[in-house]
Amino acid sequence: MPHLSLEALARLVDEPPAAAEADHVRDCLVCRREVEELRAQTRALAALPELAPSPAAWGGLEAALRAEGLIRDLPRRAWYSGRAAARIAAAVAIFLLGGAAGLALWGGGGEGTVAVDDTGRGARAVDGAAVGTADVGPPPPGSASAADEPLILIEDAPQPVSAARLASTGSVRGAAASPPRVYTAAAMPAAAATVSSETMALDAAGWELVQAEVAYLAALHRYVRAADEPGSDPRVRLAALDRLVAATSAALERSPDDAVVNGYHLAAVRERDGLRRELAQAQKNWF
Amino acid sequence: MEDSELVRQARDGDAGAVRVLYQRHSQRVYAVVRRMAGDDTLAEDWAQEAWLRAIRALPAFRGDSQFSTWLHRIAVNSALHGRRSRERKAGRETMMDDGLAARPATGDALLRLRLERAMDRLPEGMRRVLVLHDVEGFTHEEIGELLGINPGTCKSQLFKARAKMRGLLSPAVAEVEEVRTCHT
Repeated sequence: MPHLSLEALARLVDEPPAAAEADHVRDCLVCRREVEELRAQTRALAALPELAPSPAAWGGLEAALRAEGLIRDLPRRAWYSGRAAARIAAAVAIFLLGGAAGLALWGGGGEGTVAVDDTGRGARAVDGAAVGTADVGPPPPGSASAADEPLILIEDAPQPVSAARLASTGSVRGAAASPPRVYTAAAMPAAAATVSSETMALDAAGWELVQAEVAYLAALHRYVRAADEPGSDPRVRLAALDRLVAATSAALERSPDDAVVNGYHLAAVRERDGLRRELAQAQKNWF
Repeated sequence: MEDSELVRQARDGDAGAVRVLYQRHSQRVYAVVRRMAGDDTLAEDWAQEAWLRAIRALPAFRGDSQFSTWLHRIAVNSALHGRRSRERKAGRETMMDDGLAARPATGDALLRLRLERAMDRLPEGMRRVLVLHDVEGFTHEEIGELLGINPGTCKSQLFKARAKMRGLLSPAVAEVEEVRTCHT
């Protein structure tokens, strides 16, 4: 029997052979090998990768889309949706918790300001997407009461001076370019609404996130430095760090894949564990 | 951000959202139109036309299927309805040969390039069926619907295309085997 035609063999790639074809292919090494080659060719075609267009192609398409009025530049909204918004909220909340813990540690000597909710019990996220609260107790003796203590500083304009928008360290607060408005406990809901508003501009939001991270880490460093100050009680600092870890854990539950929140958490855990080790070592060497 | 959200923003005319969608899906769109065109320049025109059609049609996209599936179908249709320019193709073949010669290629990469080149050399009808069936995975029924032919004709074209590809690739396969042998 003559060999099968190439077209007939091509059909056998994915269709069953007729009886006579099956008999032939079984006995003919040439045709059997040809079918295998055709199958390999078909597999190779199916595995072909995607192809990249010319890098200049987007420019041409964009121009055409704009010419037809199909696209235009809009304010970027990604910062205000989903994970990004949660991250900003987490950054603000965690920082505020850091401020709260710092207040407890230093007795509210005026270096840090802190947002306290209406119950006076804890700091919380300012936009309703709270990631945790921390009991900081009543204001320490000698500090102003919750009613008249400046709580959070918010700029009128959405300019990138988040240092003035957040409870912050003195050095960061000092960076504010203009006198900020001061909100008290009674004004907190309005202030919170302002901070969480979609009216925040993209750049201000991004800058705020960075500043919040910097400020949070600065707060942690303050705890470290406090350990060296005469008369400081490391157990108080440990309690504050425990609260921070709890807050970052809560934030992680909301945004487990968020690198920034993970960074906060790891930083807080690292500091707390380091302090625990120091305390354990100190107990061993108490004599 | 999910495609669905980007689509929603793109529907409002957000250039940034359209750009992200383009970045995500441009390679798939380009691949199918390029292989059906058999020609880079023509493919770029068709790919742009596919995107223009898609963005124009976004208000009608209801999300019943994935955006990528919907877009792919538009790309195929754009390629099928695109008009072929023989002058461009003649110019392009020279450019492509030059491009291929300039690239270093391992055995597998060489085989891919040979496959692409062989497809370019197929008659248009065969190439379309081969690309849609063997590369893109459409069924004969779907292809028949797209091309306005019956499934039997589609099968016949496919088997001819495979056979012709085999003939075009035989020397190349031997060459690739030789390259592989040299590397091992």
